[in-house]
Amino acid sequence: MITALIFGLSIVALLQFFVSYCRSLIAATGALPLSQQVREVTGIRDGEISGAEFARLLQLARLCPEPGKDRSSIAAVRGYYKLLSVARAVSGRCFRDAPILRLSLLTAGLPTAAG
Amino acid sequence: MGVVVCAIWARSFLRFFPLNFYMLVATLFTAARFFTMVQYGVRSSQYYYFYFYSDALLTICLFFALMCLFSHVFQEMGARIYIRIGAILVIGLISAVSYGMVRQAQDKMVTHFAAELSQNLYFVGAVLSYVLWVAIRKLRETRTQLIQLVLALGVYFSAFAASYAQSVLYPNSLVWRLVSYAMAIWLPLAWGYTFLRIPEGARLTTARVALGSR
Repeated sequence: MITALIFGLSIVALLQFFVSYCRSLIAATGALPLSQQVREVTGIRDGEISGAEFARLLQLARLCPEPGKDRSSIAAVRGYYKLLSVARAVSGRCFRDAPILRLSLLTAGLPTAAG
Repeated sequence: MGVVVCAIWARSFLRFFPLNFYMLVATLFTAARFFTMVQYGVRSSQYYYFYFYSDALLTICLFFALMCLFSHVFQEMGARIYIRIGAILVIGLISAVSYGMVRQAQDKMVTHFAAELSQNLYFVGAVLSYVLWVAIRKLRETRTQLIQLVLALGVYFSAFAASYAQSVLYPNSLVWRLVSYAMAIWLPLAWGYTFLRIPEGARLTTARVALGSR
């Protein structure tokens, strides 16, 4: 019982630390303002950019002929985005059977299928 | 070893000395483990003893690295001496609890004690990392280097705590071994990246990083 509790708590802490670490890596880039041209091309109008706009921004980045040093950074952000998408899909699948998992993900600040 | 080189390059070696000391000791022990394995074989009792003892010592070193990060966060409060006393008390308490847990197994008590001590230190390390992360958020700490070092260490401690618990719950599962291999790469990579790429004066708002506070 205690071991299971330690396991559960450690997993929740691991999720929190890992997602926060990833955010700390991309926070500096996330703080950069988008230019007016990029906003017009992507159709992003709000000040805060949500995760839903990632695909559009990625398409725009792919149009750039020479990403240069940004190639690895874009790959890292894409990996992080995919990881969160997988977490979202897993939480959606497990939600019916394991409400505690959704609670854990909500505590960790991850998106769930229920929103 | 790469982390130490990165820290020297970034002139952070002395500032985060316990972290670099841990990395140096980890390099030495890894080499010593390799020689022990070659000399006596992977299934020998010598390798078994050496592995668990060195692991326990490394975990204690890492615990003091965590205390160094605590000191950095609370340095303006002048709480360094209290943190040192607290660290020694926590280590003593964990050792006593670990001894109490393995006292019955007289025949293999020495190795059981080392393994139990590591396991308990990992869990307490994960809890203390979380406490430190909460303190960083509450105190609105903005030093990017410090934040990333704490978060990377939190990932390491909690992954090991989870893997040890999982090895007890599912003894035949190999996942915990994979976690060990992954974490052996994770900490040097994360710390090396922080020392090499994040300048000392870089600042970060924790509200942008902390989960649940967008």
